[in-house]
Amino acid sequence: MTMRFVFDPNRCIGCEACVMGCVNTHETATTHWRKVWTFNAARHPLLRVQHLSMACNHCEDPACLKHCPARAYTRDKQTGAIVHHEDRCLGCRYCTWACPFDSPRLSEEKGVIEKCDFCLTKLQKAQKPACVTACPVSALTVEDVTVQPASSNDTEWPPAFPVTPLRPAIRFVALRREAPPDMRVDGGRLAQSVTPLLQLPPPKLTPAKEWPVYLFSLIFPAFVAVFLSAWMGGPRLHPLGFLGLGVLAMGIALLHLAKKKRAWRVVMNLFSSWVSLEVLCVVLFWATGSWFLWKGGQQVAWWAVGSGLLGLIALDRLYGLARNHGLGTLHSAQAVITAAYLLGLLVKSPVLILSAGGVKLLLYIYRKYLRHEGFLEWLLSAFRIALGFISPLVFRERPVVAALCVMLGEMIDRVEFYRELEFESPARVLAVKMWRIFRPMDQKMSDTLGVEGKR
Amino acid sequence: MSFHVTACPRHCYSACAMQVQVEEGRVVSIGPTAALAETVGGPCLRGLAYLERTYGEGRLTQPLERQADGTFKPIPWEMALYRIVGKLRDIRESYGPQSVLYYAGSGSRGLLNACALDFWKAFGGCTVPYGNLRWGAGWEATRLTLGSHRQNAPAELAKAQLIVMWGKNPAQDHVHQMRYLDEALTQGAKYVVVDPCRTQSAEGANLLLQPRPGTDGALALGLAHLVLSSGHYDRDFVRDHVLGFEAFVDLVCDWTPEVTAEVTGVPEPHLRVLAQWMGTIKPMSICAGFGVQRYSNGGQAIRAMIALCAVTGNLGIQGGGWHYASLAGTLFQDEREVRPVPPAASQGEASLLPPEVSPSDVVMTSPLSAGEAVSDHGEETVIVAPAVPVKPLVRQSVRVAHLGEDILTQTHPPIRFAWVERGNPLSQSPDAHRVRQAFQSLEFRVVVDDRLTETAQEADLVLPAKSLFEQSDVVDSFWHGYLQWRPKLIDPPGEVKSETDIYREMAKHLDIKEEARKSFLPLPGEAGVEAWLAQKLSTMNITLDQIKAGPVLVPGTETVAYADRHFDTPSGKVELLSHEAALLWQVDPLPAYLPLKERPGDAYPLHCLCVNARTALSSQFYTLPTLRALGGEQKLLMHPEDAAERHLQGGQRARIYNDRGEVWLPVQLDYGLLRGVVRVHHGLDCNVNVLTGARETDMGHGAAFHDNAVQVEA
Repeated sequence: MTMRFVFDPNRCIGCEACVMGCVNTHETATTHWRKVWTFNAARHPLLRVQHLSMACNHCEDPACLKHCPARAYTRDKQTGAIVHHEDRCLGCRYCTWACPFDSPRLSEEKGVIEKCDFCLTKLQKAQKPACVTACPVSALTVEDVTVQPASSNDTEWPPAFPVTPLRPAIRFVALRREAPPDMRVDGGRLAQSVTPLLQLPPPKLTPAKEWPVYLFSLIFPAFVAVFLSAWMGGPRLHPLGFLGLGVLAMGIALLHLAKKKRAWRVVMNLFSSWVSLEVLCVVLFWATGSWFLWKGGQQVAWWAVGSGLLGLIALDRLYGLARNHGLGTLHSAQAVITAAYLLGLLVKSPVLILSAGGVKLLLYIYRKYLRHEGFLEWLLSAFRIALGFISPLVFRERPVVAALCVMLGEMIDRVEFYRELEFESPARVLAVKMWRIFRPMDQKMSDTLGVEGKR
Repeated sequence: MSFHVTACPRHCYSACAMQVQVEEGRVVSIGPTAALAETVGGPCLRGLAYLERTYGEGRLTQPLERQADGTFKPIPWEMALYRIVGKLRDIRESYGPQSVLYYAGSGSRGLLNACALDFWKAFGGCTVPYGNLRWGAGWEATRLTLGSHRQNAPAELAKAQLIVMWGKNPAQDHVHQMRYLDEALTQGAKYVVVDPCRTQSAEGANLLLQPRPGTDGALALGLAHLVLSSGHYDRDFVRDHVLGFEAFVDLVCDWTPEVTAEVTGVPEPHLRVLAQWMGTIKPMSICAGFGVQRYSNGGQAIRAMIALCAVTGNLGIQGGGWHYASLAGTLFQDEREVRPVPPAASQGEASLLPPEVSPSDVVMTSPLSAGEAVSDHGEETVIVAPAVPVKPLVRQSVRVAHLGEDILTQTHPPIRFAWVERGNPLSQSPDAHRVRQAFQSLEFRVVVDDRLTETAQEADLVLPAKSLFEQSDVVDSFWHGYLQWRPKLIDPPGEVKSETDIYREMAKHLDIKEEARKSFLPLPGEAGVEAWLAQKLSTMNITLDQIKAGPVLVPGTETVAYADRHFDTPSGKVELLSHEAALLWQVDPLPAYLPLKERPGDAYPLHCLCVNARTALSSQFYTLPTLRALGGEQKLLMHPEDAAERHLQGGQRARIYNDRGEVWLPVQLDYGLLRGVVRVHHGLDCNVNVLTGARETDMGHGAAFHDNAVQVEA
């Protein structure tokens, strides 16, 4: 019997008894699996305060399961519960990027992900999950998915709920009264600054926290470019040096994992995880690449070229989980373009330089155009453009220097890219909703204030 | 593995029935039970935290003695008892037994609690505080107006067409009422919340009125004005069942919408809407919280609110009525609502006295604690003659609202020793600095508690208290009216002893004869406790087997209160004009509005409301790790404009102060607050009662916590 949660926003009082029920039941958990998200927690009089209690929604198309490179997630056939197995988890955190509900959370203590298991053992005994049992006002219940609800809400989701195509196993009862209570709203109240309401949540991913991945994703395209240039007749590479640096790069990447001893599991999910594919390609690239540099052989070289390119594509696609500012999933820090640009410089191919560099520059400018940033950020961007696109013109005759300058530019670009990555989460959805409502008001306020200030 | 039904003994409306799973002598889960329909949703966030409370960090499991440097060291029970008993003997000999203050809070309810006062009587007497920190004024106002504390059964609320939640936040403090509210709203009822703060309970409401704190009485009179002038009142009910209607009409005459809006700050259109609904929608239920009466004019405000139920004919009907707190189930509690004197005490009223303290052994040395009101009006008339006892065993001379001051000023004998159980007065009493000072001035202090509370930290000896799972008892409720069995499920951890065991040992050491001990204390062991409880229950015609089988409704509890339209007042009517009120409390016999004694002014322009936190019940629970994580940091809630005026931003630490004290808390912006009002949570790490003043309410010896003006600065 496949189950789903039913949430009634009319009844939920945000008391968090569901969280307490969960904590009591899953005593070994070190993170809170369930969380109550609140829209308009600051109680602005224009809006109703709305809560949403969520743990895992046990999606029919679960992003966590799909993107987990180690196959740490399984689906329980009987109940539809998506179960996470801590003993298979690498602590790589890709599922936390993939899940828009912030359901998987990293336990700092254990170094693995923890997640709601739908109280599977209870469900199997036809009991209710602990959170449902604990809810004192019956705002959270469960039902068989085949039950046809008498009244349901298929159009309006609670404000904290990210709309996704993952088919989450949760149903919402329609809100009886959308509006806040009729109350005294002083003229002054609405005119006052609403800036405090416009705060974005902290990002899921920061370059500082994810520095191994950051470094690796700079090194890998560089090596692909260097290898390709060698293959195409550029400067020769020492096979042992190539292999050694490759092992070093992979060692850096390994630091990303909280459970390093299980690193071999990373290739368990080749068909749906970009991480698995990337890692396989990377290993293959360095193995076949070194082999080629040592012994030669065109067939081996093609393997290296193929796996290198596929690895780059996989690397880029990995960040497709994020909502980026840019042209779809295209952006200037894309590893494929970086590799092409570097290759162009190394083999002095004007076509490649102009096409890859041009695309990169345009994408970069477009990305910057979409963001409203301060003076320092603009300065950094100018520096990045100078390093990445002007210095190659200056050092036309010294490709290695030019490539190094480009890499420096890339480092800036990629830091910016990481900082700008936005993964869907309830906190982000809440912030964006508030932003949409109050940003125009805030703009108007600061405009008025500005005018007054000038007077 | 076994499942048991037990009941939560906290001082809360719900008194939830809970299902507890016990495995190998350990409680492993807590959840809902269908044993009691009123609380079928199960325990709240705090109740679910009993696992952490029983087994988690911070639970005391052995007696502790305070060292010179303020730290605590475990000492053996024998030594602890030896020290206590030695002190008690000394103090009894040098000053007399009344120099012992026996302070029992309302932190844990149960029939066995009655043993404590009997012990102190056997000791030779003691001093107990009188009054009630929680609900005193509203309790007395209800009694004066309706004659008793009968109210409709909880499920009746679902039948209401108009629900007015007045100064109450059931979403936090009475979750099981939310289910009935939700039922009513599903059926299309109108829902109005009256509260200066926009609480969670206001979210589903049609209308939220935010009167200035302490102007609820004026608001009620203004609404009555509109109801009466529109003619939408219940003429038959008023004619037959209301005393003083004409006088009331005269009173509300002046409370035109303009005046009311001016005084309360509620916009006129909102007044008109609510008055229109009150006059035309029936049945209407008014649910009043305790906050609304914690003002120096709280009792009169409650009387004015009940008047709204009366003039609209919403008493004694299904789905209508006045919901405050029900006497049902509090009958045998050691209640402390002792009124100055019961001159014509009818039998019913006698139950307001603790049964353990029959009027004959009570002496009131300070009979007129409405003394503040008296001095304000310059009147000297003492209209109360205390019952003069033959032998004053239990002295009731300390006003709970003036705890610190009255401890310090007692003479003949002075207070030298304090015994505190089930309470945390240093945190929960107003004027906390003075209470602490008074505590520190004593020779010896003993606190019984399950953790090191603020009060315990000032004690010389702290005795570890049992949890609700560790001794059988019977729990009552002032909402649903059921008595529930609370069985012993596990053995107390470590060296924890139940209070009855502590008293037995102390009685032995104090040479209280075995016969006397047996007369008020249960025999050791579970069988003794059950026999003792059975005996107590038999006085209410309830057997132990009955209550073990399931919750028992207190005999006499009604589904619809006052269905016969007979009220328990002297006149048999709803008394809008109460001579008794005037006589006992020196207030206007009509529910006239008086401004607060302490209002925001130039020096202290903000009104500070100290209220319960979501993750706490008064000062209980919040230290448990999960609740601490969920509750977050203690904050000062403030309107963004009030904050902006003071150049304060969200998250910034601010100083909140008045003449009595100061605290520092980070600011949290709350757009839902009435401007000029700030809100803090009491009972938490930072004691905000250093700001509140020792002041009694206009009636019922409550504490006017909310007459509290402060200033806030960066």
